[in-house]
Amino acid sequence: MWEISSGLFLGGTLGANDTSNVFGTAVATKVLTFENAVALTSLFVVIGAFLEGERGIATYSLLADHSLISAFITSLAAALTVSLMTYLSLPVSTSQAVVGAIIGSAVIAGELYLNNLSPIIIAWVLTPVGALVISFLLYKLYLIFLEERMTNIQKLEFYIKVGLIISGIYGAYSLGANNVANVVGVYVAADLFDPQIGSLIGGMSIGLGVIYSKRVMYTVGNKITTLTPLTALIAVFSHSITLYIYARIGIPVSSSQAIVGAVIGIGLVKGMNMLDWQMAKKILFGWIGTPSVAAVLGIILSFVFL
Amino acid sequence: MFKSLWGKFDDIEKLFIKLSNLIETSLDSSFEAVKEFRDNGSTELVDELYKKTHQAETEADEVGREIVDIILEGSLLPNTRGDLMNLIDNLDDIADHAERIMDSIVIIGVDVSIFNGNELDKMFDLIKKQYKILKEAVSSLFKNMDLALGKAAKLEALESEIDDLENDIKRKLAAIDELEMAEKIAYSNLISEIGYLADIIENVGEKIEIFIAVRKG
Repeated sequence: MWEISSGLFLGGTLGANDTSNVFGTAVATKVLTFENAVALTSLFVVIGAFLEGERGIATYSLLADHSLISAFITSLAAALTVSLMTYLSLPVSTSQAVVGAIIGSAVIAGELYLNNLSPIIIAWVLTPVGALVISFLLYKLYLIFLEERMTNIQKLEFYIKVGLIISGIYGAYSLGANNVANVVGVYVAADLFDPQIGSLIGGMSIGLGVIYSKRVMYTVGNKITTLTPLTALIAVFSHSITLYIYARIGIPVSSSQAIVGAVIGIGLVKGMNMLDWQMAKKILFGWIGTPSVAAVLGIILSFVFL
Repeated sequence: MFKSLWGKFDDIEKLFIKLSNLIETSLDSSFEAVKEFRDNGSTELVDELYKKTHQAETEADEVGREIVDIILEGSLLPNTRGDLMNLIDNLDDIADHAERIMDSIVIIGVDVSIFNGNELDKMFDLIKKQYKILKEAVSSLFKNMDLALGKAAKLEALESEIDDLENDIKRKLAAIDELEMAEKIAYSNLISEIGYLADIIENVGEKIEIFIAVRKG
């Protein structure tokens, strides 16, 4: 049972790092206090994980054979990758770290089914693209149907504030449903839990990690709110929809890359280029660098523990 | 929770209307003081208008502080808070500048009888008209942003008209042979200062336009 420790560690880092996109804007704009945001995120991450987390868990089962020790190694490699890259201020995606770690440990300790990798990689690439398309369409629809009706500041602010809370709740639910596989997918595949119990434990570990997300939440929230309040809401909502779509498909993806795509989509409607090369490099690094580092760590840890 | 989501916009709106009325009083009475001083010298009416201008400006400051207190209670989005506080400052600049013009003429006792033509009165009237439109933009800002936008967009045309008038007056000053160059420059600067009021008003209008553009996405 001790093997779950690295999974819980990974869940905690995921909660501390990746939940900031969900309520960051609401906290930065003081629509919600950090404490309320933590409570809502934790609650809805757990609910999302419990109700709809199973599909992603199944995806990781198809990628390699897992034993309890390989699950421990995979989670530890992914958690160390996320911690190391966060410490080095490099962009990191937990989903991409986990896939890299699965590959790394499976190279040494088990069977790897690379043919099942292609849908995951396609989903990574399509995550920012999908969020871009969704935010583009949502913003266009707003401009066509709602902009003219939004003439009262009080009502507009009210809708934005309520919208930020609702899209945050939806985002937390989607994140739980989509990302819980990162935390417990390999353990379920190793038959430590059945998927529902695993989802519950994974969701709770992410929920606990949210407590330590204050700094990241303010940083990310302030970044997103450099957009106008309304477009920030559309970006967060598009990100939440994207995560939910991939939760339904059953492929864990990067919430940070979804929000980047959503921001670019809004920029396209406004006729502004919101994609700079720095950002493009970060996304590319997320696709290639993160899984590579995690894979190397997975190989090293496999030599240590096996 | 609901109250904080809804925001205290009604209170803020009422106070902004009060603020813009007080600034209008300050602006009008400062112009009247200058006109009375020009036509009749230092009379009791000048004193009265002088006091009225300062009093309205002081009251406007108090109303501005009341608005800030409500804003700081925290029921508005941060950028709305910042923008509304800036709007208070911008409106206050109008009263401050009108007060400064009046002070520089009435306290120092500058002989402005040289401006006895219609141009100065016309300039005052245009600035008052421009401010009235700004006041309508401010009062419709909270309930009807589109109307406020339309009002704010009209301010630029009036500012150009006032600019043209300002240049006419300066040209006429330059053509008066009896005036020394130093006097011409001093009078010209005074007219520039009065004309600058139209720039400040137009600037507030632009701030309102940006405020609305940001809110509407």
